Amino acid sequence: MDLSVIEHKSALTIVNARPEFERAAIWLRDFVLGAGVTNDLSSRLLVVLDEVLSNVVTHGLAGVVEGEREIRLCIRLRPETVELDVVDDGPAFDPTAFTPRTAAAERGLGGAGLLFVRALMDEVRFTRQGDCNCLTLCKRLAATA
Amino acid sequence: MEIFESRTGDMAVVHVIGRINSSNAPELDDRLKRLLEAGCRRIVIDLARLEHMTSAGFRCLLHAERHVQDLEGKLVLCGLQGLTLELFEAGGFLNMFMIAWTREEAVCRATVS
Repeated sequence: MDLSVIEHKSALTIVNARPEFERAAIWLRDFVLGAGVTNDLSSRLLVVLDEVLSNVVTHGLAGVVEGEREIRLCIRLRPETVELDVVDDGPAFDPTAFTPRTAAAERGLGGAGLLFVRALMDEVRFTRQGDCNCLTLCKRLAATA
Repeated sequence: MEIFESRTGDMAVVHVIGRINSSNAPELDDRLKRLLEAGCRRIVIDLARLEHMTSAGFRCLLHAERHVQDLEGKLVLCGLQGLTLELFEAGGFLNMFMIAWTREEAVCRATVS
């Protein structure tokens, strides 16, 4: 990784408890505000963060006592992209290999979160590193005049 | 998130402002349930000033829609715009709800038996 091109970076570790989602959202909002990111991109990042954290806590770490596990977050603003990492130590799950049905009537209540993540981000990358799921969500910054 | 509601007879107009996410969606769910329990059978939900809504919010709206249908009432959404509209499209939710462009149109559609 070429660290020289990262303009802003921030990291936060939360635990697997729903009240932590708000702390993560505040962290993300503070970061994008300081970085001068548009409100639209800020909203997109907030949506995908909520979806990914919900999936981790509801599915990946289902049955785990609240507050016992850590979820690591990192956001990087590069000249042309913003990247958000979400790292958890739940069982291996690659969301990029899963394709939910687009029609809500067929899909039922589930699966929308993953559709939103794909629709709102330009790239979603998954790697399994040791015992951890590492999801990286990338969004290209709009070109400025 | 802020929720404002006005009621006339069995009609309720609910105005949701800000952001709906997994942390605050239960609050909206609770408000809608209470309106139904209070006898409201025609519900208009105005999303014109909503910044965004995650899947937790959509789950909440779908629950309300099903509940209203069970009671033979009507739920109409209006004010879809920007990222909110994009999420309705991305999630395939547009044909799951009765949708009007303006609040006035939504009230009319909710009123017609």
